[in-house]
Amino acid sequence: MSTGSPTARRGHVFASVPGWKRSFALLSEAAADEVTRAVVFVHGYSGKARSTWTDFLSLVDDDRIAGLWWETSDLFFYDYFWRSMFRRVGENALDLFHFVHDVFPKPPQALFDGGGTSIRRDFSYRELTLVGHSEGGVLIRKIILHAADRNAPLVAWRRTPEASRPAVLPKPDGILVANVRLFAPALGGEALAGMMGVIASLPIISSALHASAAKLDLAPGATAITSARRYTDEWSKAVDLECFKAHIVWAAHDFVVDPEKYLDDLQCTRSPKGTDHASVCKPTRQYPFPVTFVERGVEYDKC
Amino acid sequence: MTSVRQPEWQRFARAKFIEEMSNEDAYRESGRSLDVLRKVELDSESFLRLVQSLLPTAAALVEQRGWLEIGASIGYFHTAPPLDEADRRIIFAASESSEGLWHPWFRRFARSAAGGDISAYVPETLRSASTAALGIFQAAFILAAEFRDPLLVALQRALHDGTSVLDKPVEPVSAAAVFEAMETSVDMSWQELRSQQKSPRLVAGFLQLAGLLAAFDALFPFDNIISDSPRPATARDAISKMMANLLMWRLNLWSEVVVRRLEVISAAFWELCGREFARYPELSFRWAPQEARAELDRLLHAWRERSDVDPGSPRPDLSGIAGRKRRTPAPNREFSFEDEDANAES
Repeated sequence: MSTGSPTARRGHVFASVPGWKRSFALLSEAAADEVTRAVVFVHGYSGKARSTWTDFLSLVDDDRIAGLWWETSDLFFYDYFWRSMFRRVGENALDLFHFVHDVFPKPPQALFDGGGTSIRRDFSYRELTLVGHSEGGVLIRKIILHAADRNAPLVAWRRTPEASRPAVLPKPDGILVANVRLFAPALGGEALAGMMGVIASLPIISSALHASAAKLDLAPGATAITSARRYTDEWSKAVDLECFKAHIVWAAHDFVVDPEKYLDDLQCTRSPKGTDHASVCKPTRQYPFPVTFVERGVEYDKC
Repeated sequence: MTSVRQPEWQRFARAKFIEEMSNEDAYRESGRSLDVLRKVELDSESFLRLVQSLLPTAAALVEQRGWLEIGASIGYFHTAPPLDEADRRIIFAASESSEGLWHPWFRRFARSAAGGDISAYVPETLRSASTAALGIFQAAFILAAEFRDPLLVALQRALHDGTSVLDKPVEPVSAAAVFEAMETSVDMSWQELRSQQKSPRLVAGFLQLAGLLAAFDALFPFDNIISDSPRPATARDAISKMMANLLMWRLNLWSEVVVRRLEVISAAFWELCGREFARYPELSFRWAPQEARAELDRLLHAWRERSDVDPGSPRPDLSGIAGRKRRTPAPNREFSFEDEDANAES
């Protein structure tokens, strides 16, 4: 794919995100008025911001893999490695909500200050894409619900009897403008947690898992999982917003999550060959699909 | 396509690099000892001895210098900040006192960095690097920061220190103990983590190491290089080699001692995996230990073979770390979609 600018390719520059330890950003070198979009990556259980998404880190600057969409996007990689194992999903979702709220639509000025210069001033994004892997997908669903519940005009519109509702939906803002892209999300629950979950999520182990004759999973019907689904489906029935319709791709061989989607989600009907739970979200030069998927999502059931 | 990084972006990028290299994790790893080395007033011989006792601290300083000097050489930023006299003295002393302890490339590089000229280490293909190449360099820098994770630092020290708990077999560790080590690591000072080499912590560090090696493999795929047919060196290859050399002090697989200690901790890891899978026979999946071991073996070889080696250097056998003797070819990474039927079956 090569839709990049005819002039020199604009790359991305690393910056830590103020106040968020181990989370970081890749800031586009394009002119400020060209940068309209923030893309936020959220890893899963026992994952890390730096290692889960390799090699998005360099391929977004490669003309042969990533086009203008990426060239004019800022990327944020959220890290909650320790909390993913030792804090509840609800708490982690609230932390993520605050992170996204910090960077979108108006990121902190300190992000753009350094070396005696400010590379952007008084800057805001217009678009947001949330990208989740595994449990990161659940957190994303939960922060969207949280944002919807806090949006007074939207809540009022939804509570108004259908017959007397204004025809036009209140204009969404903040997190509610997001597009959602999920890799092997744990929407149906995760089969494993604790030490076993950590081990099974390791790439060297994840690629060595095979189906067995037994069919009894440990998957719990945890409240955090089931409530996110119920409320998202309710919202999705009531209002037509992209943020309630995740675009999903499943790994070809995944024993960590159940491939369950919500009511209005769109999913690739085929999975990338040879992928497992850990590798499905990791693009390489030979497997550039994740880069394309984040940009375009699912179109007519195809990826 | 070439990069035209504006001067203000170069200044910004340099500031953000330096900020990252002096963050809390970096300070916990080497900052305190560096402060001591920078301020201490000793005669040359005593200073040399002190530096030798704090070689990992000096290595962290050399690595930092490497990121800055290489970044400047390839155009990621305009210039590296000048090396101050105290740091120059530390690096010189370390390069003098690290024979047989540091990878030869790293020792030579340290001497050149202290001398203010590392140009010989940057291949021509990377001068005025393309935007894509700068992105690869940056990605390597981002990943390398994971080595400063407290549990992973504890493992690195246990692998490279003069004496180590890993010099003899360790008792099997329970899943609960490893999990607890991970949980408490966030509340412990790095000093505590380093000084108490407890096997559950080291296994927790090994788990992180396995994940990080896989991430480096995604950034620097090694399949083609270890095959028999050589191909032209790309910018990615060149950066891969530089980074491998610069980071080898953190996981020196050219060292017999390090490899032997890794065998000890990996034995505890494999034993833990086997026990955990055996605990849950009702799972809908099973693991194939030989495949997992083969993959780790491949990642370890890739880590080592990316770096330069001096002719005649010993090449320790890595197969014991994966608990196996023969390497299998890397999996086919060609991309396509599963057939719908096959996917439904899976």
